[in-house]
Amino acid sequence: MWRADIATRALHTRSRLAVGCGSGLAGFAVFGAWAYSAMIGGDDGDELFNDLPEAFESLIGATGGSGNYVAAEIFGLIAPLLILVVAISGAAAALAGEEDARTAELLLTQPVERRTVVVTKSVVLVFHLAVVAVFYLVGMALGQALFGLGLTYGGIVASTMQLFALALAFAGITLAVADTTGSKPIAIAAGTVLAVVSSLMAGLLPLVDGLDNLSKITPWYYFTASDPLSGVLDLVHLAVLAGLATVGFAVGVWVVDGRDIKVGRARLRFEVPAIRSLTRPRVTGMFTKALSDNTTMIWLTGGGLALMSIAIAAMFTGMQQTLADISESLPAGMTAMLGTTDMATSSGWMTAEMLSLTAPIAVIAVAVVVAVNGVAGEDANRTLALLVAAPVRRGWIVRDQTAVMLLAVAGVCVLTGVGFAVGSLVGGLDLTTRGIVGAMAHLAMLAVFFGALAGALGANCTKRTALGATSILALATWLANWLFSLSDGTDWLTMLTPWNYYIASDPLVNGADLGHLAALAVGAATAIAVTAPLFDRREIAA
Amino acid sequence: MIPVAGIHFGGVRLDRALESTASVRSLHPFRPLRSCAGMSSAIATHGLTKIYGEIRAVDGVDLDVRTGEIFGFLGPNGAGKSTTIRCLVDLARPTKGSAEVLGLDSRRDTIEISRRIGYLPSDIALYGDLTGREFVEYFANLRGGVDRRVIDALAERFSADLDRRCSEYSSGNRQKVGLIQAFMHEPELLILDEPTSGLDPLVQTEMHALMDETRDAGRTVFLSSHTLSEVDRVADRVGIIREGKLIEVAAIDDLKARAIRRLELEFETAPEPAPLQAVAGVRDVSVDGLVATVSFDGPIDEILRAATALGVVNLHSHDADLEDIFLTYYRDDRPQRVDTNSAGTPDTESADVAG
Repeated sequence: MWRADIATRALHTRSRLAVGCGSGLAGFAVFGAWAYSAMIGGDDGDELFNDLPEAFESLIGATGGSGNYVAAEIFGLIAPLLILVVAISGAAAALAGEEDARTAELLLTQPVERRTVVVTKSVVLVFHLAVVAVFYLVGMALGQALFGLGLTYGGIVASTMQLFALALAFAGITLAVADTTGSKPIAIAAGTVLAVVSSLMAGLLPLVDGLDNLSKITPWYYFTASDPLSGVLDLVHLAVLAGLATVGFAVGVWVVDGRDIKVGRARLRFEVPAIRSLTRPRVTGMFTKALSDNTTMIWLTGGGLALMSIAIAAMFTGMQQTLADISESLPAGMTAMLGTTDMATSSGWMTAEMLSLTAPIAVIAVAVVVAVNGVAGEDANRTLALLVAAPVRRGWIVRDQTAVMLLAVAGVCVLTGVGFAVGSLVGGLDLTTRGIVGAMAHLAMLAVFFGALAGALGANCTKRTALGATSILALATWLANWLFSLSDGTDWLTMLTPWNYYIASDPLVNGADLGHLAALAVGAATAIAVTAPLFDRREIAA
Repeated sequence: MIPVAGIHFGGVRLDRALESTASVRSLHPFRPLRSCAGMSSAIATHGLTKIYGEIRAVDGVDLDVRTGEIFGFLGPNGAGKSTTIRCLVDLARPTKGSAEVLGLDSRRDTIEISRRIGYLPSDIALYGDLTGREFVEYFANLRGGVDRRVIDALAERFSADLDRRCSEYSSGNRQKVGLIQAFMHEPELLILDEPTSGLDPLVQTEMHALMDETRDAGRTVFLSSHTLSEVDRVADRVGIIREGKLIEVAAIDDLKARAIRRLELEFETAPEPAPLQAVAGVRDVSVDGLVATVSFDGPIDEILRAATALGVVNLHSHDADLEDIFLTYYRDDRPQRVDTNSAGTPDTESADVAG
């Protein structure tokens, strides 16, 4: 059940991501500790954080009680985010990735059992998760030693183990889906949706009377509930996560022997004719082709954000008093990250829960994926040469694919806006049409900014480079916007980040800020303007 | 009378052709069919059926590929060739029926089968981040090691540059790497799906020679190809699949022998058609001046005797090639049924398809 050659190959292909995420995590821990110490001041920061109400800690996924705010954010948000990227993508790539790339045909006709392939790659995945966890351990230890994170080394070790166990659980679940469906995209989508939804459930359900115990059905409860940052290692919680992982891996190994191996990418399509026409428009040209390629993603993302908006809006009334308590004691420095000063208001609640991070991540992801699926995606699919050989100008290709990116962003934002409007009615919120439209306009323009950037990069480099560079830039500017806003001395620097023009004017309350929208539009237009010339310079590989 | 030894028939001296009256096998003196007596099956399928939803991709296929032959598997796109192959190599699981490869059950004995076969999928995908050599060595290691000299010899034979990254390869070079990995362990059975796709003519010729050598060494080649001239050139027998059903299995020479051919006979004086029409197997005779055109199937010797009696001075043959035969099967609206007798020889007859 183990093949060293397959393991070596998996190490070769997957280690870069694990080391990248791990070193990024360690770097962020050290940098975050330094920035927090320098801008807020270690003691002040600890006081601020120690004053946080318990409900707020639950809301942001922090465990409170131990460590300062940076430590809690790294453990509660950044570390899970990065390690789950490795876990979910690694599990989806194990066998389904080979099927996607059509290399499974050769691999599985060698004298190697399917289960051996899955087991070997799973072991390598566990190793990679351990690598990320060790990076976390080292980064937190360095941050603590150099700048102070308010943690004990026991807390760092305990949180490392919880982080590792959480990643194992999601890796197992994703592997089960991947090996059942044989589809890498479906497995990644399932793992991601489950991680996001269960994270929200774990954060929100404890705030609602009578539903607080329901959070125990999510893996995240067993990740944070024991407050591992304080040095408590709850073996039962660890065992639950390990049990989930074991079941997932076992299913993944077991199911793979009973099905056909797929050739090429299995796509998520809806076969009900009426829905199918919505998810796969008839392809008549470059525009409709690009639209057809991305329509399913647009509907799923927009629909998901809409439903999430309705659900979160519906919870507002029951939580209003709790939110008022939170807002009263919320340190000013943290409101910057949430994008609001008062979570007890309906607009503040929706901004904090939807507009601060969840919606931008989702809409930016759509914009960037659609953009890199354009020129860079055609190149990766080896269809670019065929396309440019057709009697069309390269500029037309850029034009049509940019138009689809704009349409995709608009579609997702419209659906999200509808979700806000319906949620406002259902939850009795007092959101205004002007506010919703303004917020969606800001959301759309931020996504278009990053989508345009990804399109420009994709015009003259590989899909992977464009995707990676844009993702890193989006994350880095978000972090910069947050960190710069923590101190009056650096506050002006936030104007250098696109996130400032997205959220600083509180568009859900004040409606669209035309100046801020124009700033984002200028950035996006500049990126779009250079895309065609960059594409013109590109040599098309055979 | 003219001596028949002076007449060439399809590139072969007529006297030699007449020596063999049982079939047209002797028209291919350079590649005689091997005796199949006592040969075991390299591949045997029993009612192999694969259904995807409402589509019967493979429908009750009974196939018998003998050890030591090159078997051509023909059919247009979507006929079920690749699905059949995927069932043989256990990438797809039959909905009904079973398959044996080298006498082993395709489901139960997958590892042992994989060890003993070489497989080249159609439109092969490689690991783009590896060089050709790394790719081949990776699969060699999965097989427990392969003699590096064999790899080098194959690379030289195919003029393959193994030092470039797979992502930089043209389709032809990808195919060469795929062929090297299929042949490198000198398997007992090669299952090749469109093996010469993308290869230049020189390498195609080398590939054909390699298949011949493989067969001559007593090993088996199962060759799925759209290139009918290639199958015509290298295969001993062919199976033709249409809409998932195996509609014909026969030696190429037998197929040609059964196919309707045409003879143009030139006489000293205008011939009477009746003696030619009276010969068994003659379908049609038309006379134009001194030339009679005879359409026929079956043995040729009786026609030649009748023509000789009428004073034939020259003749031209129009032999049916595999393409003609193949197209005949696909132009015909009525799929045909193949019954295989106990000796493994297929008896073919036309039949209406039920359902």
